Amino acid sequence: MRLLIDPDPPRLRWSKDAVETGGVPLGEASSISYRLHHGGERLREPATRVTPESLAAVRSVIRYRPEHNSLTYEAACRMLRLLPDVPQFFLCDTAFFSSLPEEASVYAVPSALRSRGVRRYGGNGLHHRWAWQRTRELCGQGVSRVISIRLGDRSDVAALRDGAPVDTTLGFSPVEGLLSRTGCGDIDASVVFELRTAGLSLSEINDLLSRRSGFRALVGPRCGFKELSAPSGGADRALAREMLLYGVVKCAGGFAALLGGADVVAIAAESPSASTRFVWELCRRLGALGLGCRRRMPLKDGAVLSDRGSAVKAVFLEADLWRSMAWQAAVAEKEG
Amino acid sequence: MMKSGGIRVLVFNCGSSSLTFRVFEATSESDVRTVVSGKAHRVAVRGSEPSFLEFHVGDQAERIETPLESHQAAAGLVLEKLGSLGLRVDRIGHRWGHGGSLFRTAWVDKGLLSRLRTLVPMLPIHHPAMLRVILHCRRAWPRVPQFVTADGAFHATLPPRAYTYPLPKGILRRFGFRKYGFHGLSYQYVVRAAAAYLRIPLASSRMVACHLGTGGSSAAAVLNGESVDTSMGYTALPGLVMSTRSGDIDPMLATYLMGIYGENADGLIDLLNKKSGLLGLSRFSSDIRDIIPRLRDDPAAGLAFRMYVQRLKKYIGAYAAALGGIDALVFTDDIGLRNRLLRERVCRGMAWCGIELDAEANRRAAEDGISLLSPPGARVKVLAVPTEEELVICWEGLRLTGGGYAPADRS
Repeated sequence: MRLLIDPDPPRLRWSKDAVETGGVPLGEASSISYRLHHGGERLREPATRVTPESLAAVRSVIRYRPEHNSLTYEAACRMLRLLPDVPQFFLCDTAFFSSLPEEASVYAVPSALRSRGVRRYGGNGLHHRWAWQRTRELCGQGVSRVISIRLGDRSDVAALRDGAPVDTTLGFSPVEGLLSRTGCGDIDASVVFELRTAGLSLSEINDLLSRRSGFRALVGPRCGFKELSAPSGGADRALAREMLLYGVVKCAGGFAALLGGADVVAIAAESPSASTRFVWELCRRLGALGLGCRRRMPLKDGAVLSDRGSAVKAVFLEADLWRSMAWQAAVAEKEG
Repeated sequence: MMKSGGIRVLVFNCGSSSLTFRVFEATSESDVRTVVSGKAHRVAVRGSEPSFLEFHVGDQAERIETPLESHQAAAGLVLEKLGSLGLRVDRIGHRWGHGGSLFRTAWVDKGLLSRLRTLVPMLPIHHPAMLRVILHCRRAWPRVPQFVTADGAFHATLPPRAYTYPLPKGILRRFGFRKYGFHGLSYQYVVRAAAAYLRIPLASSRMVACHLGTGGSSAAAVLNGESVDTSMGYTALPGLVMSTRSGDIDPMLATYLMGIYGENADGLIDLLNKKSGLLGLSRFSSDIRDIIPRLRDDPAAGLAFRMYVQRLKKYIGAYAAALGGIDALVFTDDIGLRNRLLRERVCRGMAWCGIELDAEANRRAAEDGISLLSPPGARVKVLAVPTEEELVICWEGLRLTGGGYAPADRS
């Protein structure tokens, strides 16, 4: 059986099949794949065989996402020693975006800084690569320009042309882009300088921007995407919901401009039932892109949301990390 | 006073190395004519070329080469020239860079001056010069009431979803972080002029306006004549790729770089504001006019130009989507008016939201008047509109005067 491992600090998560069979059946593993959140500039393939060399590469990129990457690294080190004969792979979330065009990956800063790893890495590549495949299955092989929206506690949007990334909302870190459960998203970087000048330490500022902002700052610590999508809630929750909706609409419009218009908007969320309201409201607001959506029905994986005759199609995908990892692992196994 | 041609308003507009001035004569907002205009060039700049004052009265133009060590020296020279002409001035208006949430247009009195002083750090390069020009005018012409108009005031209509930074509430309370936006006077003028030119009601219109200057640049989404979003923020750093400012960057990059550079905020502020943008990308020039001729031979120049275009396209697309489609796209200020190649690239592939450019009209566009650049029948009217910040300041001053009150401590 195929074993999938996702770092979810402070622990590791194992794919469902493994949990269901009671504990981790290492003896039955035919392959083991680890999610690597951030591959930096060293890991640029969606799947990389775990070897002493690739382990060294992963060790060198731990600093980009210390919490997650260190878990992935330690797990792979141990497993390779334990099961040296089982094929093992790093499935890297930033690899898909290593082919971002220069104008999307570069920040407009002096070249001396750009050579120090300062670039936009993107993220959630395992999802967007899978979403591209699913969109083509659902909408036909003629699909070329896709705006892939992933909604959740940490939402992001990617622009894809013929399966290759054109732009992404996630940047150097996953804080850039849309506001998230605890991250502030795009804000004026001058805020950081003023906080520093006022005496906050760098780690205090990092903590503030990435763990104490977003929905948490606006609504409270228990507010995630699911709560935001629910119809109830006071003014704070309404503002957070509105900011996320508005942010996604702006990203979609911006990416339509880069793609010269979109063929399909692929909207994904983990729980179809919990995101129904949000998704339909989002569709309603994307009219300027050429999307016609007058219906309201329960969401399910693969549902076409757009009206017949709509210039741009919209589909709903049930985002499932294990499914997108399994798909990528299968490709890797085939290729050896 | 009104019978002798109306109220005369002298307006000063401080740039980083220039001082623009106009004397208007007005009986109402719709009846304003320019009596005197001009600009002090290369103010407080040390270089090989001389600084000079350009001074127009009626058909007469004068160019006075003289050292202009500071903005207040330039303003002093303007007041002397006006005095020697015997020209009566009833009000003096000033552009103020960043009013925070404090005011839109206000009379200059002691209370206001102390508030302006607290706002100096919001624009550390422009504000000190603006303040000194105001103080100089108070000393030189103590009997003429002065007012200031805040440049960002047009963006006071931003809704919470656009201006809120989702940071902890305590931090927001303590620092006042939010999106303010800039170039408000320019937007206020161009959307009004565009609506008048197109004969559409401003009060039911959807526009995206792009103020593309040789220094700072921004874009704004304007719904029914009111600003609903803009690309600059708490400061003038975020948004578009500018001449020397980076525009949007990951806020976490700021802390990462401070780590690398020994936590020196000032050094990094300098790097992102003065050495980034087109200059940082091209490695040789902050001026898009220098970059364009080298697009073919120099990959760095090519990257700089492409990034400038792409960032602008993204903002136009984002605002078009947010507004649910637009009626007009307006280009203004030096780059917006003069750079045909840039407009052509920005509008390419934008038919999805109705934006198209007429190649011939784009080529022939005037630099000193309004030009329609979209083909007949296009869904979105694309316009180049020269901006008139000084005229908006005059309008604002007339509104104050109309209110019938004057500064409390006028001596």
